[in-house]
Amino acid sequence: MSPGRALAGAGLTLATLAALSGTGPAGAPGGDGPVELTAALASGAALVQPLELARMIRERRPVRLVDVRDSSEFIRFSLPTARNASLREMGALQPDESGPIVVYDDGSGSAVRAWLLLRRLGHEDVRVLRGGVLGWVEDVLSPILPASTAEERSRFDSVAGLSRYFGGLPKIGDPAMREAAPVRAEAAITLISRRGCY
Amino acid sequence: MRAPLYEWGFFGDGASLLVALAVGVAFGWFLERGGMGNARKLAAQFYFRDLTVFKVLFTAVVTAMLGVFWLTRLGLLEPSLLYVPPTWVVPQLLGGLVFGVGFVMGGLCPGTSCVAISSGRRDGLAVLGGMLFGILLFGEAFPVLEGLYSATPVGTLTLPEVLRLPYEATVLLVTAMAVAGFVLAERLERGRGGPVGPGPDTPQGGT
Repeated sequence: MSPGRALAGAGLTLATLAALSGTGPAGAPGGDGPVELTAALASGAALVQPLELARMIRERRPVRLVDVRDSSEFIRFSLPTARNASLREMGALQPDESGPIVVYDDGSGSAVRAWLLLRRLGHEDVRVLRGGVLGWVEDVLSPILPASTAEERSRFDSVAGLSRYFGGLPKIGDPAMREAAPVRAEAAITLISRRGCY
Repeated sequence: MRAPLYEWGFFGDGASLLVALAVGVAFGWFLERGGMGNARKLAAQFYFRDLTVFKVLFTAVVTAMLGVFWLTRLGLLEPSLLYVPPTWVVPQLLGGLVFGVGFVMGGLCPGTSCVAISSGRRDGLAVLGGMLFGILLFGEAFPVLEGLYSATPVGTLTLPEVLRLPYEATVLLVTAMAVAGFVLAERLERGRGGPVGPGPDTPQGGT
């Protein structure tokens, strides 16, 4: 038999076995297929806001926080209760129905990759922290909120209490100030670290 | 250990460049051994005299497809981390047309022009020069072409989605198509005097 015929025979055999191997998304070990996962990401349902996460931690609600940045960055600064894990260590996370897994990064995209992996590994409730570390610094550690009306004052007090709980420095002001002088995550973290809160 | 190894963080950017180098060397070597550096052989494809390009590329498609399918089934590959290029219908049709005209005129495509240069063929150098000039021209004309460049986006499409078939049936269908195509290609070649052999433009007398 010529090599060409042998290769064609091998290919057809593997393809026939593939057709007989059962239906469903190829090799999905569990959870949703690519279409459902993409829809969940696009809808924003997979995100958790920094302030919502801060409340969950403060209220001791069951949440597993996973930092997917390098270990050196994790040692320098991490969110309270977080553990550090690389993408290859995602498989070691045990399924737990009691609360969500929240993953975060520094905007590198690793958190979205970790979210995809965890969903494909069968974890039902997985979320990505909106904005990652910078989102936490901006919304929780250095919030800038108006307080000119009673309603705004009430909201400021609520957020400021949460921010101070985590060692933050809330400010009264126009949130547009942020656009004029965006928060520098490094500077904010250094400042808070010096205050001995982390 | 599961693939894609880079996406899972098994190695970093530096190691991924080394892997890319090894894969590129192997790719070039196999293209050269398959006769893909010979412009006469490649141009003969368009006259149905030598369908080596079709056979080599369809073999690569089937090998990769079966590999991805079975590695996924065995739990060694995570398919949701593979990059699927998105589709823009009109710009890709036009680009394909320009590419095809350039291919039949020059007798080489971008990859095979590099293969041709490495085996000492000067026509490869001319094609590569033209390609780089075309890239420069496109870059300069991009503000004008931008509307066309991003027209008719349809997102990422895969054959099972388009054909509304299960993945497994699509794998069998594509493999059967490839095998039927190979049989037909060999008949066509025989009917037109057989494939192009090592020709006078082969510097060392054979590929």
